[in-house]
Amino acid sequence: MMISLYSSATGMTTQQSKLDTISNNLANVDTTGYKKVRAEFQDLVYQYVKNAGTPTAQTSQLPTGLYVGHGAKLAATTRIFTLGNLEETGNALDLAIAGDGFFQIQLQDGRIAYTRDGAFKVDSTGRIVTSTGNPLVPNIVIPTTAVAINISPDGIVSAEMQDGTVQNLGNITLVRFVNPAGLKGIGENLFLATPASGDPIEGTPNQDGFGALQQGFLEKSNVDVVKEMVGMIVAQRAYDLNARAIQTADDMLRTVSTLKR
Amino acid sequence: MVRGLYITTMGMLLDEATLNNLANNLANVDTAGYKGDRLAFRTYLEREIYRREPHPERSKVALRRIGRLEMATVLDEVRMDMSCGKIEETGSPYDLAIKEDGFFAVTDGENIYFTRNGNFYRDAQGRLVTSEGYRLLDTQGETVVVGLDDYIAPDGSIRRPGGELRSVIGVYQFENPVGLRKVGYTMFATTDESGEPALIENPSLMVGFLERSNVEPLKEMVKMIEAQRHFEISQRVITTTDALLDQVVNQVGRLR
Repeated sequence: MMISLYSSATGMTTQQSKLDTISNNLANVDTTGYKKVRAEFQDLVYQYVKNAGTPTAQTSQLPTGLYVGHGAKLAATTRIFTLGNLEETGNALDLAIAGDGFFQIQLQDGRIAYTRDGAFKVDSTGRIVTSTGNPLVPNIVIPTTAVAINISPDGIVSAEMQDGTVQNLGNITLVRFVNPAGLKGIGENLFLATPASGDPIEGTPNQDGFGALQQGFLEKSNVDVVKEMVGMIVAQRAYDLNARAIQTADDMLRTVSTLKR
Repeated sequence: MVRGLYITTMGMLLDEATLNNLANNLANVDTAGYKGDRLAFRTYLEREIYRREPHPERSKVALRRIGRLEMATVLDEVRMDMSCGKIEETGSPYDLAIKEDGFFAVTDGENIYFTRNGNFYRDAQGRLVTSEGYRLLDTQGETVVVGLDDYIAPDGSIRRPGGELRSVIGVYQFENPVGLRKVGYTMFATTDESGEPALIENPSLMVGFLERSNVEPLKEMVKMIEAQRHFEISQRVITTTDALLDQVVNQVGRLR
């Protein structure tokens, strides 16, 4: 009936998705290695009644056009890979990447996933694993006789044994992506590579632009609560405004329907 | 009298157009780089009104002009409001806001469009693209490529870590930006009215910032009230006209 009914509805839908992303960000405000997501919007196509520049006479033309827009749509939900706060935990197997890079994790089905969540544990066979038990790549096994584990900023893992000797256990490598925003989040703080992210580029921590590993620290979520709250206010008000436009369109249609008594 | 019905109806159609327009503005109140639209109306079918007066010469009447009556009003133009939107800090390294006038040029390989939405992403090849996949162009008209460790300076130049210049992001201005044509997805196309794009020599960008929509919710709400009330008043005019016609038809003409 009236275009405004539909364009306002698109406005409400977009604000709903904004609130969805905000809720997810806030729910993960304390999730280790979580990267916030932002919803981006765009206007929809325009219906042109008259085009600007259309000649109106031999020497004159329309200075501006006549058109009507059709609302907004969700254009993208982008993950923002800024660094989260580093929190000291004192746990020897907690690793934070101070800078660019991802840990590589082997999934149950053999695929490699990527994460910035460095809260590692040791499983029954001594492998370094994530909280859900997926092993770190390259595989590092910690001997049962080790009393202390040391991880250097460039990824060298060494263990101090009961007899006082130090044993080198291997190197942790990191990967980078040309477009980390193109990674696909699969939950549990894990990401998969996609054609949009590009292929992983492997390297040594603290070299060639890779971040340094910090043992005993965890990278917290990069969600900024104040910003999310402001976003929530904007989403709610914009939702209200669009709802009001629908209500007004409805009122006007009622006015029309009462024209004939 | 019946004429009044049609004039009022045209006014009501304009209220609908106003609401359609502001609904689109409000739907885009949170769209980065969106420029609001304003409507302009124009009277139409102006008619001269004359009074008949007895003419000095017998059996003739003189017509004396006493004014004009506008018989209709129509939507004349939709004009973009090119004022700058609010600037928001996002922290994303590929979000760019243009401080003053100017537009980014983006292409799908075929057509070149212009936008103030600086919400760019780096794709797998390192190119800066919009969320629709349109590629950002540099001053030479080539696709902007940003390496893994390159950074964007506020003058739009892309430099390698050592400071070596790679390319400069093209920022273009138009003689008459209002003449640009909206094609959706916060992009504009050139028209005869807008003129040709001209490169801005020393653009000033804000890296990590986005220009949000320039829609003012307050103004839109005031216009919404205005449109709705005008619509109601017009409806009253129509029902009154209808009541008068009713009297004419059913009472004046009644035969007893």
